[in-house]
Amino acid sequence: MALTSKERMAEQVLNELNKRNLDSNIEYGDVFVRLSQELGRVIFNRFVATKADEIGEVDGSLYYTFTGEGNGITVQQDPVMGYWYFNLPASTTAMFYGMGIKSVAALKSPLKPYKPVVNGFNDLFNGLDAQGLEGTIGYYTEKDRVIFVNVTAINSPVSVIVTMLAPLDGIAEDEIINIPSDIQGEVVDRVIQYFAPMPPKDLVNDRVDQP
Amino acid sequence: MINVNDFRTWFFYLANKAGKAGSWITPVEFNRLTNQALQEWTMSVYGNPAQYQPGRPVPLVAYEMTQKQIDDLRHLITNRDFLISNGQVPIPDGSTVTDNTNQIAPAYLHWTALYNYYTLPDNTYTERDIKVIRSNDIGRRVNSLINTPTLKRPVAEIRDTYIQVYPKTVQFVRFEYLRYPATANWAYTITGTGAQARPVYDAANSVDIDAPKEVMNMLTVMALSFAGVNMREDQLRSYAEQMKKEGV
Repeated sequence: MALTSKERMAEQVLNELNKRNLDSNIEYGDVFVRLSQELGRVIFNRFVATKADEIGEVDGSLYYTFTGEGNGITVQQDPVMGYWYFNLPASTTAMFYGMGIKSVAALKSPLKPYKPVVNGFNDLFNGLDAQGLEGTIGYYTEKDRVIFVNVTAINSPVSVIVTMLAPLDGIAEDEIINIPSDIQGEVVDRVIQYFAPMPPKDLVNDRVDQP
Repeated sequence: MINVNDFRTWFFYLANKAGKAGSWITPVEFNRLTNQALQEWTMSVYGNPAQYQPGRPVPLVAYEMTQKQIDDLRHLITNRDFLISNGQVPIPDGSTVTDNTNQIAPAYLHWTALYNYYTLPDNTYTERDIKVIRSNDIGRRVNSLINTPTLKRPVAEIRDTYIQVYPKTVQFVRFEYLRYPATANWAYTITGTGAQARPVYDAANSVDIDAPKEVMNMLTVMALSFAGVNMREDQLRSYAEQMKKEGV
């Protein structure tokens, strides 16, 4: 299968549902949302399955870097809490070890990514030597934000790029992306199954349950 | 097109009532019968709601259900481009609504399709389908966080004199619809005077029947059925109704 896009996969789903005459109220937007959700689920399942074989890899083609249309994603300071952060450009995929976000780096230094730390890092390491991360910058996720550790007005990056795992809902519907063909097939199958209604159990109004 | 004079000749041959007392059909009445039969036939091919089943609004025969139905009504298919403002596509009434070339658009009868000329990044156009949804779904769709209408995937609702397209920034659309069939007219001149006066076919001022030649028999029995009621002629009416069911 050639490179794909969200729109292409959604069209495949709708074409299949159309053949079964099931597409009357299903819109592209509905399919986009479900594609994104199912892709995350398929990736997670595959990761877990391969983890048992000591592999535990994620196909590199499933990572996508958001560059803020070339200008980077703006870093801001929270006026109440004082920390520095940027807003996530897409939903994360729930994976172990924070793998949903592969890396965060300054726009000008993409090969020097910051250190991922767990949410609660500050609570745990406050006042300890480790809190300084040996002079480097860390980050963790909270709500719709990625919050920096060891960042002040002096060393705050102006803008960053972020590489995320399968952030389908943050990608334009017609943007060409690479999803391995077998994963595409699995995701599309699952979405079709989701939208295909269950057959009625009893069509005869005779108070007798039909098998 | 069916020649209206051929149709009239065939109609009177089957009716076999010419000149009989109380059963004379004047040219005006004939034209009325013809146009009512044409309306009945057009509806029967597009889809007759009387054939719906409870919970299943599908007639026995419907437009685009088979190639035959498409062929039978293809002469009514009309395409018109409209430059619109505020997302409002005027519904052609055959007299006042003009398209983007300032031509009067034929009167709208039935829906076929509505497209938005969507501008691609290379400044070329592609036609994007505008989906018609029910009026009670418009609020939900316009405020949807998932399926918000966009220029790429617009929606529309039909109102009295116009079609409201969302988003309202849609500016250039192509409307495909079935137009009303032209009104048939058997025009005539009078020759002779007094009891010898007879209407004679005037080809120049007549309008032929706006239907495929193949359906002339069906149109005839439809007209005969109406005529049978008018003339209190049960045999004629029952024959016509039988032929309508069997198909001719």
